Amino acid sequence: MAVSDEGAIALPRVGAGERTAVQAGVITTTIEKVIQWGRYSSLWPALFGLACCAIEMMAATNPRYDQSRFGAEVFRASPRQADMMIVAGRVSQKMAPVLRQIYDQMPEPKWVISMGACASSGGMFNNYAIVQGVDKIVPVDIYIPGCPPRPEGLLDAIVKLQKKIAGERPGSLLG
Amino acid sequence: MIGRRAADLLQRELPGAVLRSADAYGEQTVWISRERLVEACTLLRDHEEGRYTVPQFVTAVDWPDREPEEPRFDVVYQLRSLHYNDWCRLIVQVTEDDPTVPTLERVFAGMDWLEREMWDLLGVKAEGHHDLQRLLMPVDWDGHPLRKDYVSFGEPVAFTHNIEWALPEAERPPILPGESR
Amino acid sequence: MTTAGPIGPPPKVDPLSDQYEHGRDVLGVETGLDSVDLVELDENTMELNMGPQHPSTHGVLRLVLNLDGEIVRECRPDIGYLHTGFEKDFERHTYQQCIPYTDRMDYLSPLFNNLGFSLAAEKLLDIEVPPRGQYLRVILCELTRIASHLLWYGTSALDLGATSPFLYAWRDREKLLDINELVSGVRMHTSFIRVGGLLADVPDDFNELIIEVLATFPRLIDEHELLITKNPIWRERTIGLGTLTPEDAMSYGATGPVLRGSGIPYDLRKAQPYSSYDHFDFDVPIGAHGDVYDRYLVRMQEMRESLRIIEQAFNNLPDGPVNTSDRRVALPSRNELNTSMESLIYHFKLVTEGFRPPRGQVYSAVESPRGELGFYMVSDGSNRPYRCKVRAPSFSNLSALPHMVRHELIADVVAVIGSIDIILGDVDR
Repeated sequence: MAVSDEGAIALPRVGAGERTAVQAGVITTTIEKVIQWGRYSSLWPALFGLACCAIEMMAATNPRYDQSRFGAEVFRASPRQADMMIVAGRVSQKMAPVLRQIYDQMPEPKWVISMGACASSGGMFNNYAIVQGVDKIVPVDIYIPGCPPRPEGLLDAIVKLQKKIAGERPGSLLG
Repeated sequence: MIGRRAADLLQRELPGAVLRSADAYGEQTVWISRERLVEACTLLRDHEEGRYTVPQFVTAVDWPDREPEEPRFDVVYQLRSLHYNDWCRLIVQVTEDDPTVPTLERVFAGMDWLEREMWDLLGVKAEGHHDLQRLLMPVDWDGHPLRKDYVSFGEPVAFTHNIEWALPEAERPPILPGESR
Repeated sequence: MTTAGPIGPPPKVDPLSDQYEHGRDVLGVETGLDSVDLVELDENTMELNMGPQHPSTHGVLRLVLNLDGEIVRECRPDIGYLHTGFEKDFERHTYQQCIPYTDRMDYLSPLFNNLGFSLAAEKLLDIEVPPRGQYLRVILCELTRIASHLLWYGTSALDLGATSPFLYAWRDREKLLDINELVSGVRMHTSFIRVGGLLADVPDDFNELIIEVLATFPRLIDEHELLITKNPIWRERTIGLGTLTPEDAMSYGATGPVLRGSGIPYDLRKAQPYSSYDHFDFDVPIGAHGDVYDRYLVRMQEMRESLRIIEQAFNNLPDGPVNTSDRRVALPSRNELNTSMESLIYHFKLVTEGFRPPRGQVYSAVESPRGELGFYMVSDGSNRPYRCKVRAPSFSNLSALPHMVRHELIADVVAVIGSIDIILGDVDR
């Protein structure tokens, strides 16, 4: 059947010399979305590379995989300047209190990515020396499987974390 | 035969120190008495025909079933001679009640950490060491992990055949995997 | 009812009850570091903790420094923050099951760990790997050596403030990881070298990638050297620093580039060749003064020598099988499995239970990028190693650190640690 114009709603058209709001440089959004966008677009990881996963984490900053296009470029050595902690590698019993202390020193809001099998669950080391998963010590947002996970896996986790942050409410800022 | 040079040197110069000597797989092993250990290593390091200057490692092998016929621990030392391109293995046997060996840290500087690691993981003390503290485990750890009677345990992995052991009643799934068919 | 689970008999106390001592209750303990006592030399010294979390310690190494202004009076390393209990795990897995564990020890050069373990087990079993297997082992190990040295180069230059070498070196390292991925499917931790040979033969595209590496890498390594070798900042920061005399190096048990930087031309590939290294012609670079700059030059030159070895091995690569045909270790072939029931049973038992070497003790060492990596293996005739002690090169090299940094400035501590090229997985095991 032919498409007829009856019942169609007349949309306001942009006349000559007029511009849409977006063209004029105005967008409407909510404060929540803006704050969360700011947070996830510049997630700075705290340096917490422990073992082999740290090598793949450093490889994710390579020219080939390039983590900085996702905003997570600068690895801050001081946890006070970081908002994400990537626990990359196996956490031994001696290292566990240090991990907790570094996590406590990070300011809110903070997120934790547990990279690799050893950080997520103890990995292949079910023995006296390794903590069976860092979620026994710190709350974890994203788990990455793999031994070690490919750098693309880490990038996927950062993207998922960004989506998760976009969906969160910035409670701590607005009280 | 690797280690033949060291064995011959010890037989010649310190025959009382050598308890026995055996070879297998192309390597010669010499059993030394505990009291003459420092003397033997100093000889091997300084003698013109030896020059075993590089300490490779110190470790102990735990044979708990050998008691009481033979001592429990075999403390193994290996020294390398760069000059003669050779290495030698010395074994000192110590019992469970008295697991000490004299320290070699004044003979080789690297023995400092190697003996601390041996004390940490196996409980074999080096007498005369200036600071025998744990090296790899936390300072207040209990037990010596590499001994055969130390149960190394992380957490139970729940399979269907050990589910009563691995998970408490409240956490068990109502239908075990594999049972639903 | 308790059963012997897959990780051994259950402990005597139920681990889920309150009486079970985990050894260290990580949630209940107050957050703090283990204290390391240091002698207070005089009132003007300050104790500084260069903690396990630090950008320049190449892993989780903790140094307690006793400082007089900026000068280090005494340095005491505190290690063990990556202790994984490998040697205990070796005792409860069969020989072939231990190979993936060995990958994770010295995690920057995983094939050397595999090779050392396999050579020790092969010595116990007295089996010989066919020539093609040996040459391929040499090629893959030398590629790993180049990858490890490139990574060391990138990170130690980054520690001293040069950021470009990091990106250049890691870009080139990716090409070597591509070869790993082609051959085994994994970038790192390939577990490719097994007892008796290799996991499998290399595919056909392997030749193209090797030819490309041999064609491009000499120029790339020259480019890397061009960046910093004659740079006055680099030379100021590294020449005359962290000197280790040959006698001290030997007394601490240092091996590898640390020993060769002090002038002693000892390389296990030349002195006690394994896996047909004596078929190849290469030189062993040594340094003159034993300082950080000399170790840097030694490692850069070693990369070039590795390329020479790869070229010779690749050009003369023999044909044939890559795995030994010794029936105690080799799995029966597919044809046999289709026709013979006994072969099938034997295949099953070999995979699940593993082979049983005779009783005895052996020591077998390889020249890893860090030094002498040795495996002292004791077998009691069962299918598991009774005791497998790993002689870690980084452990002995690191024990020389307090000696090397005494009376140096604190900023130089970072340079010296970088020059030793430690891997904490190797130090702590």
